[in-house]
Amino acid sequence: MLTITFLSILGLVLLFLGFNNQIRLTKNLATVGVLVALGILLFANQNLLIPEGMETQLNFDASSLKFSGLILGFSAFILMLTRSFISKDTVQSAEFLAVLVFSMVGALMLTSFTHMITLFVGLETLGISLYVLAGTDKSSPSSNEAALKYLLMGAFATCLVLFGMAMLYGATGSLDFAEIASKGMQSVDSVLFKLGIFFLLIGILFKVSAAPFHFWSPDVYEGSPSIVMLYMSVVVKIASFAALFRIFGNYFHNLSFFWWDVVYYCCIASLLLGNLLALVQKSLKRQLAFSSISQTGYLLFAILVVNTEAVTNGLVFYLFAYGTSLLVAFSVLTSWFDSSENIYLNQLKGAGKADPTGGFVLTLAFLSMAGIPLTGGFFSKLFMFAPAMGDGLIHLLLVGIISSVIGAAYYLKPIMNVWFSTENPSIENASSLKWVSLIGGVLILVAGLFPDTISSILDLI
Amino acid sequence: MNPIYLFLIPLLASGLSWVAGKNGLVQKVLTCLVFAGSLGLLFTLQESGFANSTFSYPWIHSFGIYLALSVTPLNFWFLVLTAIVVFASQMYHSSLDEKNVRGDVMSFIFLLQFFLYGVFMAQDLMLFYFCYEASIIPIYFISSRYGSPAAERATLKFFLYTLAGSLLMLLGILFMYNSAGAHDFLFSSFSSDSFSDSVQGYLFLAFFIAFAIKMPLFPFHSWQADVYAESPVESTMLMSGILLKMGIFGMMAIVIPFFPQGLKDYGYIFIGLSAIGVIYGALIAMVQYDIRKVLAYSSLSHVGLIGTGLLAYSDVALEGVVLQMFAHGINIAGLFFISDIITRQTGTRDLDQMGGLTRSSFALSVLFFVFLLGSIAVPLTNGFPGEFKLLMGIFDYNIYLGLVCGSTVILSSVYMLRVFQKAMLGKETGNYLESLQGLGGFRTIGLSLLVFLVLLFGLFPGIISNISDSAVRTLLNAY
Repeated sequence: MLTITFLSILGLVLLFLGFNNQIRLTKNLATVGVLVALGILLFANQNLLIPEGMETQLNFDASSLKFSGLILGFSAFILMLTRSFISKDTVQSAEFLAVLVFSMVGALMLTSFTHMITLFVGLETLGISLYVLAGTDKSSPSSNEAALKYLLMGAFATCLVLFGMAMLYGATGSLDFAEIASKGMQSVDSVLFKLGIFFLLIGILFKVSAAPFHFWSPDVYEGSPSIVMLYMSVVVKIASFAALFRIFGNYFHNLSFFWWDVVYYCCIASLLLGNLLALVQKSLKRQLAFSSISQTGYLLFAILVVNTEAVTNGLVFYLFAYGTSLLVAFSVLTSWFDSSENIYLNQLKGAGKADPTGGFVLTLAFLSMAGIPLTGGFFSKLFMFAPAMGDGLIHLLLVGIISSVIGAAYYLKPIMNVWFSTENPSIENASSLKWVSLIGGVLILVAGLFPDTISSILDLI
Repeated sequence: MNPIYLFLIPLLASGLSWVAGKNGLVQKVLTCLVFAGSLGLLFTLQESGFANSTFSYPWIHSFGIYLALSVTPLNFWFLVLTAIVVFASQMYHSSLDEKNVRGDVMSFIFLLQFFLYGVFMAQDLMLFYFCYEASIIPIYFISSRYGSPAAERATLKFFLYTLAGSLLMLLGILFMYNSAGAHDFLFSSFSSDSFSDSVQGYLFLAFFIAFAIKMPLFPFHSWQADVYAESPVESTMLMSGILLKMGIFGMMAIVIPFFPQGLKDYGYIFIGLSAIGVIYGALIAMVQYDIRKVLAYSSLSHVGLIGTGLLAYSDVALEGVVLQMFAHGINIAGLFFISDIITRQTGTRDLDQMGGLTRSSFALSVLFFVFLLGSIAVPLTNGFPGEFKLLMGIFDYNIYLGLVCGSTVILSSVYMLRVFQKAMLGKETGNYLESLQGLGGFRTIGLSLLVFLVLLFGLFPGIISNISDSAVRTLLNAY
């Protein structure tokens, strides 16, 4: 709660700083503020200071602290990368940063809710901020289109969630998840209850962009400015997945006979559809958007298996490795290309000659997303696969390895363009912010060689 | 002596050679040092009867993965072959042309050596898997970056093919872990008794397909010819000489000891296919006009014979496998080496455009002929004892299969002699480059080492079999 309060105040302060038009100051304040929020998260008891009447609505337990830590850590790094984007004339820097910080408030609530109201407030705080963020670049038609599309589809998904909530309330007379879950065991035959769970699940699967509820994400991701796309595919993914995991991996875990099949087939559909569609894209942003759908598929493994501490740790490790890879990839790409333009694969040709260091870390990032050893992505896949094997989900695993192979086929494309092309590079190398990508590159390697080290660092949170 | 030193030498060298970059002399010195160091350590261990030759350290505690390494009579010759082929390949690269020495290629080859040592020495399934899959990365980058323009596509296919195989193996490893109820992945935690017959069948299929893709055995070979033909020759030597041995080693270290029943239940399907591969490879090699492709298909044929021997499941055949994998590694590396020298002299890979090279460089043709004899397994060359034992084992298994595989003796001489005739004999057909007189300088060191080994192990095959035979017999008696 302390962190949430702090971030809300930070957002307001940032809005007021917009008056003096000092972009660097505002950005640095936002970055430092988010880091301070991370510090508060680590060192202060988050369950203190929850206002009266809200005690039963928020609870920061071990897993929500881990997810929150990831969210704030990645947000801080993403804020460091925003400089070139917010310096553009068409972007209102202070508003952009303030909305970004407000969206983090929503994200944190999604990791720690215990009550349907907090879940809904979290979803909407995050969602509405994102509709604004997607349209930040006012001069770009695709950015506007993305914002509108996101708003329409997001609102639709929110309706589904609300609908589900209403039905669950009708079936159990409660808004508290633990209570609903315990009452649910007695109301097994209630149609209302089943429909409630079903709609809630579909609504949140929309938010995490699992197939077949993924139609909005490629367009939105592609149209948004690169930095917003990075934020959506890392921080928003973590937050909405934390919510899904909290509800279905935790509260409703014993009710898995209601929802397990739906998640199972969504998982298979995400793996196959996401990867197959990513394979044929020419735009790198669109490819990453589809690959993000397939990554959701791997993440859903964590919900399908029996929940143990190892599964939670594996999930956190996965999100860490995937987030770091994306962060590194985008930090290199935004230093090579204008942040609000689309990026095509053939624009990368020969980039390794112009910027070998950038090319090298970019390669690491893509290898990690493909799950090749030496990078963190390998162990994150292993940590997802191993519990599934323990539960005997062999068919799912076979789909998983087929889609990993397809995944490698398109994750290698940017690498091939960067290194193996004889054409002259078309990029102009901006040397700024190299160190974010370097730190990320080192983290990917450490996660790929000594995953225990990373796990124990994540355990500290 | 601790095997961890052997493991870390190439890693250290990889870093150093990255720093050394284009400095050819430093690269050559590094190559020689790593070669000498590796062989020195290996033979010291062997002298001491493999005493104290294990190393174990918990690597990933939460998952029960150990950095467990060991040098044993079983992996000894695989390690020696790695050192030799890597040496030959690097000597070739670093003495090719002083201006074209590339730090990244040298560094990646050392990195590959590091992973290969890891695969062969691993005593932990996950470590084995990790190194097995990681070894694709360096070879992928060398081949794609410095190969012909067609290499990019071919190596992508290679990458995806092997990745599919290894992921299947990963599932197999996880399945082993669960069905044996193990708490770690150490080889010593598993035995064939841990798995029921039907489980062994599934596991056999998962591992066998992974290794068959790597070797490759018919019908999993379709990536092979293009990659061997289009890659730079340094990496072709490595791929054909040593990378495919990972598959053979995996069969010997994992499949035979852990899933003997699976091998008996399903092996007969693949033994037939592999024997078809022997003939198929040979027949295609006969009609190829690209010298690299002839060699690639000859490799398919020879490895098919090794694969048949592996599945025949008898001690004679397995002894033959060790002898033959060593001989094949040296011969095929030597042949690709020479084929590239020829291509550089004549500017073509097309056999019809060559001819009469004996006149311009007699020594080259003599060396070529030695490898050729080794490859077609003439007595007194290294190919003979292995092939003999393999065929003996296969005849014991099934006489018809033996007859089919036996035809390789004739077929291989047909296609190899065809290459020799077209390239070395006959009239000179083109304006050969005067500047590259075939052999010279440091390149000769690598090549003459290989030639020396062809003859040495042809005359004294006992050097190999004295060490490996006992290990091979234990494999079978363990069941």
